Amino acid sequence: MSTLLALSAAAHHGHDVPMSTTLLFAAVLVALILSLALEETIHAKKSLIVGVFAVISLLLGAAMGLLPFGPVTNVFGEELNLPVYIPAIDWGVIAIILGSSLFVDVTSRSGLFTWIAIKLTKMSGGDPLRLLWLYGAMTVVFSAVLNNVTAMIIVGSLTAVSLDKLGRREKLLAFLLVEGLLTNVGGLLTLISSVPNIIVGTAAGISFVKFFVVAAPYVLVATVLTLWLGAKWNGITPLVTDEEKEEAEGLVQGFDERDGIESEGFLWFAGAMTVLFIVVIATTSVLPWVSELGMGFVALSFAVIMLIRYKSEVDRFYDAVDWDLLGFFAGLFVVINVMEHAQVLGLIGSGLEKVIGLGDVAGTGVLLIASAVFSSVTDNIPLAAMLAKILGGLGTASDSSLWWSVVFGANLGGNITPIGSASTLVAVTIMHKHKLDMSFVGFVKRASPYALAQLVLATAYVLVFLR
Amino acid sequence: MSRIDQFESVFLSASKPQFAHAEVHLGRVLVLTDLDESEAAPYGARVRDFLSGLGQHGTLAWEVVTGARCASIGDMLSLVESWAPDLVCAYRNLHSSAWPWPHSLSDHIEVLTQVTDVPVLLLPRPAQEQGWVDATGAPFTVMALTDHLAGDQRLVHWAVEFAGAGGQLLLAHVEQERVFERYMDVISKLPRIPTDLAREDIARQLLKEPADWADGVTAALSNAKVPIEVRAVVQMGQRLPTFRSIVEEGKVDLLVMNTKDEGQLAMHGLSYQIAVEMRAIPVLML
Repeated sequence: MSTLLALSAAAHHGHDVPMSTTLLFAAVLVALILSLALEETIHAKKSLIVGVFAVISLLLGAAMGLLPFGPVTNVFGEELNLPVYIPAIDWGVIAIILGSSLFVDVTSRSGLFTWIAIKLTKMSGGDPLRLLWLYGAMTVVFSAVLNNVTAMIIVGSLTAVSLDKLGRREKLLAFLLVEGLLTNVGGLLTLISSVPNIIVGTAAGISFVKFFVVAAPYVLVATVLTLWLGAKWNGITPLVTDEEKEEAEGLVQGFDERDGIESEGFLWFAGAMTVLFIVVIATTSVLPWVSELGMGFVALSFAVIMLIRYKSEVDRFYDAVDWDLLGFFAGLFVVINVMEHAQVLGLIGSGLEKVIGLGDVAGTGVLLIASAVFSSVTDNIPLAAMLAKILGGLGTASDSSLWWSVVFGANLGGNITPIGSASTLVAVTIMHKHKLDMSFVGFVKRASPYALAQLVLATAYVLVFLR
Repeated sequence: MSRIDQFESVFLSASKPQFAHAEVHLGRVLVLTDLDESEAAPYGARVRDFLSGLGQHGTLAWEVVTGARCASIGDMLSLVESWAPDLVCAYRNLHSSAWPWPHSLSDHIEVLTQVTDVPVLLLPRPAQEQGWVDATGAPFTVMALTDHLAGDQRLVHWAVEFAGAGGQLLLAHVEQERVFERYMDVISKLPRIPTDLAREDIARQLLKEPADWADGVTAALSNAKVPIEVRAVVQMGQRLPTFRSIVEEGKVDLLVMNTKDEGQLAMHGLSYQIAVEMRAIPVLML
């Protein structure tokens, strides 16, 4: 990150870029954002889309003399010959994502998450309303502890199976929609719950604990509001007669929470490691040595420890890593770095300065809503990365409410459209897998009332409590 | 999005059919024969003796039918309909002269098992077939078998009833090795599916489901305090020879199996095969 900021500073002060060049690169950035928004239509994976734009950006940047070729000086004062695109990537973020996903994947094999999910299903007694609340709470917690995509996959898969078993398939769409919307609420809870949090939080220097303390009250209220609206608007009511209750209870008791558990010892170990992982991540900034190594080191270390259990077949877990996501990040960081050198970020930043200049209330509010609208039509990660860079460049203090406007807007904006965040896209994928009709427009119609309620609540929260 | 499939598979595997013990109602027993009055009566007594271990034996109403009363299939079906039994007892090649050639069950039996919902206890043919000489009343060793054991409540209820207090229930499931190998052969030619992994996982899952069901049955019967010993035999192999060896090794007194197959008028293939070939043992056909 520091290298990146150093390069950023060099870009701001070292080049005098003509406006036509900046506008050309801005057009490239717009084309990238549009391509990401049309990802489903053009049938191309994110990593490839961004990869193509990274190649174009680098070639144009080199051709126009914008890139700072030459050796890079590391923290030991040594000069290293690195390709220009290598230090452009924020390896800290990549390490957190890679380590966390490996850790979660191996922990899943222990049966821990399915054990929790099935226990909660049994606790519901098969009552649809209780099931909605429990699954909703589980979505939020899993989104916070794991990540919102994994949370949606686990809870969405279980929802499909359990509603089928209970003979309540007609409620599957409503359940999946509410869960999808809650992944982005849960994704607000901690610094590592979603990628925008990691990017913005890291750029702002917000600690894990501080992030949690600020976000938790909102997450609690927004979760309750979303579930209440979900039950009300979709006619999800409790069971009434004793016969209904008895039948539903019998059906959910047919779930065996121990089915996927290969080893009791490993289950307990995985549970303990998950708790320890959260504790260490939460205290990284104050732990001696660990604070220097960062959260990426923590995530990778925990992944390595968990992989020891499967030492002879670790390659299976490497296969399961979401390389598309990692490739997407790498490419995105490169594009943004080139945009920085082309002073596109400076241009957007000057626009952003005008927004901020609207005043404490209007500036913060407009930034939140604008972030939400923008991240609803494309992936929220480029937005977060770009705004974090711009706010950092403007010297925004770490306790400024502007960071929170970006965090809340980037996360909640994903709830307006199905392409706004990876987890809502997963929710729609599960809907389609189960032959439920859900178009882009259909999603917007059904989801936007919830998203609007969440955004109004978020804006009020940021303006009243965080300003 | 392959991870959606992964987690859905985990939850589908964890969703298991549950067994709940329930007693079957047995009030009226109809014994069909193709014998005359003098032979039918002792045969009826022999059947009563065989079923003397049933919990509800003392209150059973019996009707022994001579050959003349149900010579035609229509007469037999009318009789069954009008008398409304809970169990029909008969034997292979009823009203058929084909019994010396052990290749069929007879038109009467095949129609009876498919047209009515009443369980049919198929016994060895009187005088000509041996096999139930030593079996005089429960407790029995009863083997419930099917090509898909998991979730079949009715099969187990009847098997438990016939095993009686102190009896033994053998839950048998044989997965067809030849079919499995055929699919594995196809999988080995598909580059997108890792062959060794598929073989290991599919074989394990195929045997896990009936084994889980058997565990559930054992637990439910134990909770219901049914005094019966449950054993599961779940394995891969060729069905008929494997079932035959299980019957011999387990000294099985009675087989219980389903005969109806959704989507076809004929008797279920495996059940027909076993009923025809394992002639020395009584078979309860549901």
